[in-house]
Amino acid sequence: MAKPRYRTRIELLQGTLDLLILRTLQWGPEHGYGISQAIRTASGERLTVETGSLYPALHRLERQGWIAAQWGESANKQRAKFYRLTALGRRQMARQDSRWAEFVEAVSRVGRPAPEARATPEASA
Amino acid sequence: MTRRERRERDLRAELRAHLDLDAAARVAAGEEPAAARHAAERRFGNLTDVAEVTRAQWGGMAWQALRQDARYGLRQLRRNPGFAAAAVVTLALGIGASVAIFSVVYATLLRPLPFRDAGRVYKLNETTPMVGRVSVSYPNFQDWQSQSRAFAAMSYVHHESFLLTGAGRPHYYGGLAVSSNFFATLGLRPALGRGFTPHEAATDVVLSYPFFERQFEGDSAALGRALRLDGQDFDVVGVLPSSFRWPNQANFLVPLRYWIAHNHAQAADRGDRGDSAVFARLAPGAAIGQARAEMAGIAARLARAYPAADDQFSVAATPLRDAFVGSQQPALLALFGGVVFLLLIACANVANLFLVRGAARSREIAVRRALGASRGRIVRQLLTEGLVLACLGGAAGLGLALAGVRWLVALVPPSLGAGAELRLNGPILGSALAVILLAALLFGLGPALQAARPEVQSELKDEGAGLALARRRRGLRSLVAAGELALAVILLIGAGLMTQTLYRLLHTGPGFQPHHRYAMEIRLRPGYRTDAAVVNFWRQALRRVRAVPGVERAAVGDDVPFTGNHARSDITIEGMPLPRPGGYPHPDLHFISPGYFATLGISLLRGRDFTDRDNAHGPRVAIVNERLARQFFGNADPLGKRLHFGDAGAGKPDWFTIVGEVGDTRMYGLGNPSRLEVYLSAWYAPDSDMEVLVQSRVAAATLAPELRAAAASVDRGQPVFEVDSMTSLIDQSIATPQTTFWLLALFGLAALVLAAVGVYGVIAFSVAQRTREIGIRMALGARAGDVLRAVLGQGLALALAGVLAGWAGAWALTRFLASLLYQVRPADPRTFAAAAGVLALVALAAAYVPARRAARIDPLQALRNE
Repeated sequence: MAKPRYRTRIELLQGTLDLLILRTLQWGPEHGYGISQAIRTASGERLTVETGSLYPALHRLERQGWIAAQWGESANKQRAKFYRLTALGRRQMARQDSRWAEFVEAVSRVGRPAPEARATPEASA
Repeated sequence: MTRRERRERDLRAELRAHLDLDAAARVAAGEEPAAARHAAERRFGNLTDVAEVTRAQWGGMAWQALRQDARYGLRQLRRNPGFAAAAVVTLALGIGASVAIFSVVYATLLRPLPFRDAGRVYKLNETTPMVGRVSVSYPNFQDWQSQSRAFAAMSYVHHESFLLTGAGRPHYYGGLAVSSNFFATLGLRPALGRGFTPHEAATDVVLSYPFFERQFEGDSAALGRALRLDGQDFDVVGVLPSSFRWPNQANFLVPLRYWIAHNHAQAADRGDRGDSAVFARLAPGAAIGQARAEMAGIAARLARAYPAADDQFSVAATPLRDAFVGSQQPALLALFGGVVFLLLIACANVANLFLVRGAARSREIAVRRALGASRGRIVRQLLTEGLVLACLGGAAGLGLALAGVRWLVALVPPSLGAGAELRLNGPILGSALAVILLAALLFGLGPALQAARPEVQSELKDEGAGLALARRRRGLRSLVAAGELALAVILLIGAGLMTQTLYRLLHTGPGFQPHHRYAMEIRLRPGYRTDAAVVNFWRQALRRVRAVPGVERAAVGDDVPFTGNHARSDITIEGMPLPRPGGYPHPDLHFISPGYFATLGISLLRGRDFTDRDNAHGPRVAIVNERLARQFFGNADPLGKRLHFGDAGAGKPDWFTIVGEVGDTRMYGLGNPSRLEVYLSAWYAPDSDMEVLVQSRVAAATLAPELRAAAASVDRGQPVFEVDSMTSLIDQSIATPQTTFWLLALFGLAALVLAAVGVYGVIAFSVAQRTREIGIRMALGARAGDVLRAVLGQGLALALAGVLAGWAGAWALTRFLASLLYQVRPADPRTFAAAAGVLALVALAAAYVPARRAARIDPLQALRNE
């Protein structure tokens, strides 16, 4: 029997994590470690992505054809698997972006206005 | 390396690269390499877990779960090799036998006919109340063709054999003379060249594919070459597709015009129904009922217009497929039914094994459910285990079927195969797959659902609380076992009925002496133009054959019992009350030489045999059989009475005087009643196609070449057919009931063994489960004998239930065997009783082993074990 520990977390992250990955990749190809670092840095150390969520998400996105993978060399000459955004992924990112904007907009209208980053507390799991 | 393995390695590398990158970043930030490595690993988490959840994204999840279940199932089977072997062998038998038989049934009954829209093509025969279906005369066909609207096209097909010369030993081949619309009517396209056109030359010939391959090595240069048939050169204009088959031998097709040109008289005679049939295609929109009514009307008009030839004749339209399958359908369907029963028994047996094992595994399953496995998950697991078993059994069964098909081809008489090629192909493999899945469901689902019942609590508590459940399970197992016994009873009854049929057939006197008798067919080659020349050939041939060492007697006759069709004719007996046209006695006619009766051992009851003086110049004499004599003369002496052929009033009668009376023979096979028979001297009306009959104690292998040489010494260019022994002809005539019997007996035996195993399993398990209860009873004073009786009683109850259900089933089903049976009723009480007796004995024997074990239970041991 598979361990259920990570599975629940993937479900929580799905959608947001996908968008984070797609957004990170729009600046160019990156490997898994690079993606997780980029998300951490870009979110001001507020969002950390567990490997147990990241790699399933990467493989799922690859299967959906939104990103493509290729082995290459990192800046310090280490072999790593690089992911890049496909045309399909670019379209998907645009769609998810606007949906995300709508969501944030909707949430911010309910009750008091909230700063953007606070809206995704689950993502910091 | 498989795709999956490559992916797996890729994933590992990717995750390790992540660790390396993290560690390198930490070293760059100033950490110690070892500490950096450690921190990276800590940060990363469990690599195996990450790999697993990532892998889960690869798709084919259901497939993976299936593989997992299958692997688990295989492990379970390895742990129980006895159970696995029993189940696989049982299934292999059931699946192997059913696939093998199905391949025969498919080849003969189900395989699509090689004609376009074959469902709209019918075979038309004339019918008479005296004989049933007969051939069609050419003038009648012409009237049908011009008058019918419901049939869009009709084609006349005449069966004829042709002497092929110029290619090795002269040999006769069967062929068809067909009207030029044959191809359009049947929806057939030649594979090479062309078919016939209304303007074809009378000497065009279209070859069947096998003949084309044999004679021309499949070389398409054969088109335009010549084929010498009956001393005439035919131009090869086309080749039929390899899928073409025909109920009769059809090595090639020639235009009907050729046949008409050489058989003017026959083609013009409305009353001459040779060896021919009509094939007709329904007009678009026309229904067969409408067509039949139309044909009946046409036949009635013809009967009024030509009473001498057509009175009382009507028309029968049979679907094309029936014309191909013929009389073998009941035997094949009976065998198929039998094998389906066998398969059901095999499934029931495995289901019972599963139930028994399910009970043994109930704790394991309860634990798994308590740990959170859903009911659906458990059912799926058990079904998958069933599927694994079914696949193993199915693979073994297919192997068996492949071997079995080869064996069946050898065993099945050609008549039963109807020229079908028996081999495994798409539909058969598909059916095998369906059978395997069905089997998996049949024996997997019941136990699976039962095992997944939500009584988790009671299973985990002590056994006492589970008693009600155990009883219910026992009930289901008993039901399955009783069902197996019932099916076995039905199979046994079927086999029993066939045994009696075969026994009676073999003990029916054929009316002649078959041992040490041989028949050699000779068809005179074209060129014997006068009757005198023909008679001369036969007399010379007989003289040479009689001179062969070891030949005791020899004679010729136009046909021998058990082969071919026999000529028949209406006769008028002097002084009998005149019947309506069509109601005249219609005996078989046999043209024989002197010595025929003595050679075949047919008893001469009164009068004399023919002599050489009974020829065209002598007085007209006839010999009749006993049945004809009794029917028309009662106890009076038939000798000296006169008869003539044809109906009264048709010109001046040509009277034949009866000079002898002989015993009846079974001309059409042992199972058919003897008929009215009239014998005439072959020297009076010589035939160019006769059988030389020989009585000799010399072995067939030595005799045959000598007989052939003797015949060839009369005329070198004369082909001689095979030499058959009369006993082999009898064997051939009962080949279908014999094959049916052997296979049904085999199925019955297999069913009996499987059912016995089933009964044994049920009772042995119930004894094992009730060990404690039996121990208590014995502690309370029950004696070994009581226990033995009680357990045996359980077996007997099963047998009784099985027998009653089996009787009911057999009562309903054996009537479909009726057409295969001879002198035994489908509901023969003795067969029913015997099958029940055999089954009860076997069930008791199967129950005896566990019963003895139960009687030996040591009460102290039994109670301490708990």
